[in-house]
Amino acid sequence: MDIFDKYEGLAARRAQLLGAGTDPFHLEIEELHGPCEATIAGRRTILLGTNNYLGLTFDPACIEAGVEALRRYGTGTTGSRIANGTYAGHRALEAELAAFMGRRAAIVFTTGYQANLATIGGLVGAKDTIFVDSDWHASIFDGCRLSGATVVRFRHNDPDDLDRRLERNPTPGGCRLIVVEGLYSMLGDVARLAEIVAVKKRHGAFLLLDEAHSMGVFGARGRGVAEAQGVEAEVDFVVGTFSKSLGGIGGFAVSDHPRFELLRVAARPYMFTASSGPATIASVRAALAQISARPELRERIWTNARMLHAGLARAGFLLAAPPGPILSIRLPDERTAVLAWNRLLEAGVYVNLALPPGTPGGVCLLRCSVSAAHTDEQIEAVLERFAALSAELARLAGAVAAE
Amino acid sequence: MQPAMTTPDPDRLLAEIGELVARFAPPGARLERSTELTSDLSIDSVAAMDLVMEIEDRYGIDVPVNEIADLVTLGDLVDLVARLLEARG
Repeated sequence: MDIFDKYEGLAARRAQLLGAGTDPFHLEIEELHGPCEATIAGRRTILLGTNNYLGLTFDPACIEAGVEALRRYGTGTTGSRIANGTYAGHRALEAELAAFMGRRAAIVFTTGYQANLATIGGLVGAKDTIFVDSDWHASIFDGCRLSGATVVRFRHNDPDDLDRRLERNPTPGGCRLIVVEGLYSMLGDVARLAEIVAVKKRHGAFLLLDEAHSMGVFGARGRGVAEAQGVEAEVDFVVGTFSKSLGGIGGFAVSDHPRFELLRVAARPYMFTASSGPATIASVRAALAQISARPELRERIWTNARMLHAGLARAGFLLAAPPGPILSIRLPDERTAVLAWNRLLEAGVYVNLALPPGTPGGVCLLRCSVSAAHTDEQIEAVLERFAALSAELARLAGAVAAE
Repeated sequence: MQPAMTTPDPDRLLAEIGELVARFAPPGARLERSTELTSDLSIDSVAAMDLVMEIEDRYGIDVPVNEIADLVTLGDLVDLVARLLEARG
C-alpha cells in the first residue's frame, strides 16, 4: 500500500480540473502592475479575487516602511515571540492595534490561520464547549480541533438555533464560547451580530468574532462588523488578519479581558513558530495608519462594490448576498463553474473558483472580491467580459436543454 | 417536527435515520447497519456534518463534531444517536 493511496478520490478530481484548463488552485502570477492588475500566462489580467480590499499592497508609505525596516532590522527574526522574536516593532504594532480596535490588549500572530488556531485553541479546553457557525473557515475548524473542547455547530447565521443549542448544553464545570465571523468569506453575507449578542448574554457565554474580511471595510472607523452594528462591548474576543485590508501577512487577536495576555504562554501556535519579519510588521503598521487617515478608501470600496454588484445582476448572474466586498456568483454545477472561471481568465479577469467541500451547502461559486483601488475603467472592463460570459453560458445551457 | 421525547427502539431508529441519510446518498443505495457512510454512500466529511445537523433537529440533540469523524457505518451513527438520546433522558 502506498502512503498516498488515501487521496485517490482527491487525485481523480484534481486531474479532472487540470484537464479543463488552467489549475485554478495554483495559478502563477508572473508580474504585478499595482494592486489590481497582473500578468498571468503572458496576458494582462484584472485581479478581482485577491481580498486586497483597500489596495494597500502598493501603497508608497507601506512599501517605504517595509524597505526601511528590512534595512534596519534584517530579513527575519529567526525566532519565536517567546525567545528572540519580539522586536520593538511587534510590541508597537500590538499597542497600535489595541488602540485602533478600542481594546485593552492585542496579540500579533505570524499568520491569520494561526490567529484562530492560537486564540480558539488557547481559550478553550477539554471541559469547555464551542458553539460555532456551520459556515466556519478552516482555521476555526482546526482551532476547535486543537482545543480538545466539545464542538457543537449551529445553523448558519441562525440566532434561534444557537439559542436552542446553548439551552441543551449547559456545560457544567466548563465555559461556553460562541465563534462567528463578521463577514462570511465564501458567500459574502454579514453576521446577525445584534441577535447573536442577545443570545450570548442570555446564556452567559463568551463570544469570539473573526473580522478577517470585515476589518478596514465595515464600521465608521473601519473596526469591522461589530462596530457597524454597535455591539463591540459584547464581543469578548476579536480575531483579524493582516493579509486582506492591511495588505501584509499575519493575524491578531484583541480583547478587554484582563487575563487575555495569558495566551502568550498558553497558545501553542503563538509560542512555537517564528515571529513575523520586520518588513511585514512595519508595512502593517503603516497600513493601519492609512486606514485611520484615509476613510475615503472605505467609501471607495463600497462605491465599487455597489457598481459591480449592480452590473453583475444586470448581466443575469445570481449573486449570493447584497453588495459588499465579497461578491459571489452562484453557478449551477462544477462543470459550468470551472468553464466560466477558465473563460474569464482567458478574457483577462481573475476571480476565485470556489467548489465544495470549501463552500457551504455544496454550492459552486465564482467568488469576486472588490478593491478600493479598482478604477471605474477596470470595473467597466470586467463587466463587459462578464456580460460576454453570461451570453456564452446561456447559449451552452440552451444547447444542453435542447439535447 | 417536535423532537421525539422517548428513545425509539433500535429498528425504528435505524429506519428513521435511514430516511434522513437517504437524502444525502445516491438514489437506491442500500441502507443497512453495515453500510459504510463514506465508501458505500459517498458521504464526505462536509456532507456528514450537514446530515448530522438534520438528525440533531429531528431528535433535539447535539452531536459533538469531534464524534462525527469516528463514524464509519450507518450502524455507528444509529448507536451514537441512541447513546445521546439515552444521555438526554
